[in-house]
This record gives sequence, C-alpha cells and structure tokens, in this order.
Amino acid sequence: MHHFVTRLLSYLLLASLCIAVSGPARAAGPDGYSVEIADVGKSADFAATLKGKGYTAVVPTKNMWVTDPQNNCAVWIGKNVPLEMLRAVLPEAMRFNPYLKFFYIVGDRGEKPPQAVDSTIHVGGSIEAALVKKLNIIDQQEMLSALGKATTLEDLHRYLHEKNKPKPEEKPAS
Amino acid sequence: MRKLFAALTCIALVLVMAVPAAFAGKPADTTPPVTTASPLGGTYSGSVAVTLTRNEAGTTYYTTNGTTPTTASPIYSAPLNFTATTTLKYFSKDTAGNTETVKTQVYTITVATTTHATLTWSGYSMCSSCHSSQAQAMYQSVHYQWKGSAAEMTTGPATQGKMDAVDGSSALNAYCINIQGNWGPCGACHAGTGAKPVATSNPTTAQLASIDCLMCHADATNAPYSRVRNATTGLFEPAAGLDMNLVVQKAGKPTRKNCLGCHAKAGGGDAVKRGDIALASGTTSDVLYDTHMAMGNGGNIQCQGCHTYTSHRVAGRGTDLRPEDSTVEMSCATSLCHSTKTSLTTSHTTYDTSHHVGRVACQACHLPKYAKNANDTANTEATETNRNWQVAEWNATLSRYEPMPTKANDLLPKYAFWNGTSWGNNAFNAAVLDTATSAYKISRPNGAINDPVGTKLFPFKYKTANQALANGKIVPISTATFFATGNYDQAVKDGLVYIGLPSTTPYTTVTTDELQLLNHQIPPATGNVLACADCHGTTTRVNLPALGYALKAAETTVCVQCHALRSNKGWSSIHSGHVGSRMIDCSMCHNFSRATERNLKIGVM
Repeated sequence: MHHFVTRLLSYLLLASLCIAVSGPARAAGPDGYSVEIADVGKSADFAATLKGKGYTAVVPTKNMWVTDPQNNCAVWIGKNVPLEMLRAVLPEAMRFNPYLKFFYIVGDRGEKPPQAVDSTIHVGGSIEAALVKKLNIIDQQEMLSALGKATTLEDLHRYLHEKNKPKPEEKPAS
Repeated sequence: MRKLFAALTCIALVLVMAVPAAFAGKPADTTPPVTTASPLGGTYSGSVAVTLTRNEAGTTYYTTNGTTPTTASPIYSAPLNFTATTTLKYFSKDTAGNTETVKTQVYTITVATTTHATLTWSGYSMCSSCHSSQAQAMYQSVHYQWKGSAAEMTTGPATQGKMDAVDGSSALNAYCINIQGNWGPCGACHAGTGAKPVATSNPTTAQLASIDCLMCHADATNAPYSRVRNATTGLFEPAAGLDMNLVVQKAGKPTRKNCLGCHAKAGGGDAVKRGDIALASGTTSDVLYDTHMAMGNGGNIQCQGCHTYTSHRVAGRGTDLRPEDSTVEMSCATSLCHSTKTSLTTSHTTYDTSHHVGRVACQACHLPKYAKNANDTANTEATETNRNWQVAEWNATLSRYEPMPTKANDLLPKYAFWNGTSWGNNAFNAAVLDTATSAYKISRPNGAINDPVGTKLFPFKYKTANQALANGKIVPISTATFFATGNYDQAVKDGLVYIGLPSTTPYTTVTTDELQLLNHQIPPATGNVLACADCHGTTTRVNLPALGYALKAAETTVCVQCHALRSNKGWSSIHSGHVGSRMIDCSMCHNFSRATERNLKIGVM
C-alpha cells in the first residue's frame, strides 16, 4: 500500500511537472513550433542552444543557396509563431549570425506557404529571396527593441509589415 | 523584217529615255564612307582593343606598321588588340567605289608598373583599368552577355541566348523554362556585379567595371573570393572579412573550382542540369568518376585544358545551348592528347573498333553511364531527369515554392547523331511535337546517319518537364508567380499574358523534353569502355536499327544481291567478312554509305 501511494504520488508529481512546463517546452512538441537553421557558421551550436532551452531546432541539409552567414542573412517568421518564442529565439539567432538583417513574416507579400511554415522560424534565409521580395534592412538593435516593445504578436507583425514596405525602385547602374 | 526593225528601234528609244529618268530619282552615291575608331588613339595601360565602325556597307582596310593602307592591305573584321605602342591607319571603300581619306590613330601602350603581388584592392574597376582589352573582350563574350552568335542553330534569329526577349531569341529549357522575371537569382551566377548586361559594341568604363573578373580569376584555394549582394543596391560586393588585397594579389587563371562554381550548379543545384559535371568534378580524386579531372591518379585537367580560349572566347557548346562563344571546335584528339585516336584503321586495337571513330564520338563508348556519385564526396551527384511544375515544393531557404524535381544516378545515355548544329524552341516559337518521344521538343541535336563526315553518334542526357501549352506555344510560365504562391494555374495565366495571349486562353499541360550533350565523367578506358555487345545485337542501351542501321530490306532481298541466302551467323561475323575482309560498302545492305570516308566498295562482289 505504501509503495502504491509512493508510486501514485510520483506519477502525479511527474504529471504536474509536465503540465507546468514553460511555454518553450510546450512549443517543442510534435504539433508545436520549430526553428530551422541554415547550415552556415555555428549552426550546430545555435541549434544546441535552442534545444537546451526546450525548442525544436533542426539544421536541414544544405542546398545551393546555403553558403555563408552573410548571404544567409534573412529570418523567415511563420505567422503563427508566438511572440514569446520569437523573443527567445531571435536574440540568440543574432548572436550566432551578426549579419542577420532581414526579418519577414512569411505571407506578408501574398505567399501561401504550406501550413508547417506558419509555425516555423527559419534562420538563414537567402539574401537573394530577400531582394526578390524587396525587403528592407532592419537593424538588429531596432529589431530587438521592437520585440521588447510589442505587447502582442499582432503588434510585431504590424511593425514588420511597415518596415518591409517596398521602397521606390532604385535602378542599379549598368 | 521592216516591222521588226521598227519595233526594236522603238524599244531602244524608250530605254534611252527611261534610263536617265530612272536614275534621276536616286542620285549617284559620291559620298565616301566614314570610319570611326573606338577608342580613339591615346595612352593605354597594358593593352587596348580597338573597334573600327563604318557608317555604311563597304570594306575597311588597315595597317598597324605605319604604312599607308591600300585595298591590298588587311581587311578589318574583328577588334584589333594592341599590346605595344601602335600606329593604326585605316580607310573604307563603300560599295559604290567611294574611298575615304586615310585616318591615323596612335595608341601608346604603357607597361603596367604594378604587379599583382603588390596590388591593393580598390574595387571591381581596378581590373579593367589595367586589363582593358581583356575587359573589352570579356564584355562581348557569351559568358558576360549570356547571348551571342547562333550560327550553329538551325532555328531562330542570328543572335540567341538566355536573356529574356520577345524577338524569339530567348531560349526555353526544361528546367526554369525561361529567365523572364527571374534575373535576380539567375544573375547570381552572372560574371558581373549584379546588373543585367547591356549589349553595346562600345562599352563605357563603368560598364567594363561591372564585370566581376574575380568570379573566374580568384584563387579558389589560397585566397577564396566570395561575394554578397549589397542589400540596398542589389549589386554584388566582396563578402565582409575577406582580405581583398590578397584576393587580387593571388588572382590568376581559372581553375575547375572557379568554373564549377556556376556551371555545376546550373538548373538550380549541384549536378541538377548537366548530369556529367558537379561540384565533385573540382575536388574528387575518384578516377572512376572522371579520369580527366580527378586529382591523385587522374589527369587533374583544368577546364581550359579542353575548352581552349582566345580573347576570353571559350570553345565548346552544349547541344542545348543557343549561342557559341568561339568557333573553335573541340576534339579529344589533339597534339597533346589522344593524338593517335583519329585513324579509321589503327586508332584502336582492332580494325573493327578503329573504324568507329569516323562516326561514333569517343564519349559514346567511353561514357557508359552518367550522373555518377564520386566515391569521396558526402553528397549525391544525382541529376534532374524531370521537373514537374504542377507540383509545388517549399524551399525554406528561398521562402518560396519550387517545382518538384525527379533526380537519379547512374543513368544510361541516350544516343543520337549530331552534326554540330542544333534545333531549339525559344520563347514565342510554335511548339513542335516529337512523335518519337511523344513530347514537345525543347532542344535537339541535328544529325542523321546520312549526314556528312563529321556527324557522329553522341551520348546525351534526356530530360523532361511538365509545361503548359497554349495556342500551339510552350508557355514561359511566370516563375515569380509560381515561386510566391505555388499556384501553377495562376503562373501559367501570367505566362500567357507575357506572350501576348489573354489569361483566359485555354491551355493544357504537356511533356517537354530535351537532349543535352554529355562529355564529362569519362572513367579510365580499361575495364570501363563499352564492349561491342553493349550496343550490337541488343537494343537495351542503344537502338541501332532505329538510328538507321537496320537492313535496307529483308535478308531474302539484301543477301541475294551477291550470293544465295545463307544462314545468318550474326552481325559480328557478317561485318567481319563483308566489311573487314571484302571492304564492301554499307550501302549494299543498309540505307547509308561510308564508301568515300572508309574507302569501301560499292557494287555486287
């Protein structure tokens, strides 16, 4: 009987711990949110850091557009990724890749990505895509400040939408 | 007789009166032509390329030794490259016989006082400031213009290429279909600093400075160069953190890594397009992968070892490419390599093998399969065999949709005759169905078994795609729309508008296909070259009868031309006896002849 009570209490304790886990840990669940990291620079260390914080982080196989931190300087943000997760992941992303300069909510230009993309932060998007989308550079400090100031996810989306409004075309010299 | 005389007199009178009247409308041309040199005489560092331009039809004569040119002097046909101080004298004569007064330009060439070892990076313009003639030549090349002479195309205008255009000069392919609307990512492989090339015979200094020489000339091993787009201008600049002084100090002739940086990644990824080259071609030591390029026990041959070049014009053209950069033909048998392999009788170990070199390209037998994996690379070198635009896949790096590819390794080539010219379907052209493949042709090598000497059987990669067809034309779908939305239907509709059709025009989705010449990934001959039975007596690898090698009639008709019907002992015995021993021409049994080129006999023996 004593053993049974001990075991029951243990299970209850474990169950309550599972219920009480922080947001990030919940986000790491199979139906939750994830971070994809382009295989440039210290991507493995970055992934390990995020995993240590309880997030799902993957480094997909390289393709021809994954070259170096300078060219892979965009962050594609899924529209459903919670603000708290962005607050945790983006500062770390900037620490591992100081060249990150494009921050974009996928779908803001009318794209209709697969559903999984809406729940994913992709760190290390190609500058080629950023230029095709005519995104604007966002200073990292400014981005961090916006992350801190936003009270809701919609606030942050609104900020990024405004910042990424295309500027009038500048024709390069030929 | 008197009447006839009167009639002739009348005609003569009419003619006498009419001729001056006819000429009165168009006064005789008495104006001499005007010839302009560009650039004009002056002081140039290292070298200068001079172009002579005439304002009307005629002939331009010139000298470069200070003597006065005459009509017996050299005729101008291409830019003149001066590497030492030169006095250029020239004049033109038009088709009416008017002769221009001789003009003189003096080009003073100063020897560059700076060597590469002491260079300090000052921007992309620093290369052309010393290497001006090289920059001029490069500017006009296909590598820079992505367009050029289509002299080897039997379809389309005289100048064709990759650049988007509505005049039928813009190539389609079965990969990205067409460049229209997609210059940005495509331009990442352009040997320029990001701007689209401007076609002009007289580029400005700024235009010459838009060539990124380092893409090809940087030392990829000891001082690697990489570039990144300026996020504001979209133009390329050296990546931060590079020692650009070292990069320019070490700059030299291209290596495989330089060339493969773009050519291996054509079509959107490593090995995707060509099938016989990959990034591994620059690094591998696996001779079975490519004995010519492999390091270690391989030949470690650089690209220009075979793709010879003059004035930045490089020899060699894939059959699916529209422009040719150089008219120099490539060959495996040169004074340096395989020099004995041209004889129809002694090039190989037996006569039966040797005579193949007349009509079978070396790589047909020496490239048993393509899209191989190198044994010392982690990645696969699979090549794309089909691209389905009806199925969209998400590319997370580019945050866009892409068409679904099918890739494969270790493929058997397709074989076809090639006479050196090609057929191509360009944007705005009418589509042509190939009943043999049941697909619409994107590109084809031209050639047939009866084509002149020089036409040979070559191996090819076979590539298909699912593309839209409307009003009898392949639709260059809007890749921009597809990438953003993955919506094939909308991408087709936007493509319809691009080719001048209403977006409501009905379309169907058809299979398109193309053949692409294979030349690389040759393994060592011993143990790897095809055996006779790989092609003869079977149609698994190559269907020789379908290529024209079938008997011209039944044996009961063919054999009895010379002798009574006998039992068929097989192709080897028959050819050995009839051709090898008796030198009987092919036309006695087939619908083609090799009598002249192989000194065979025609007629009943």
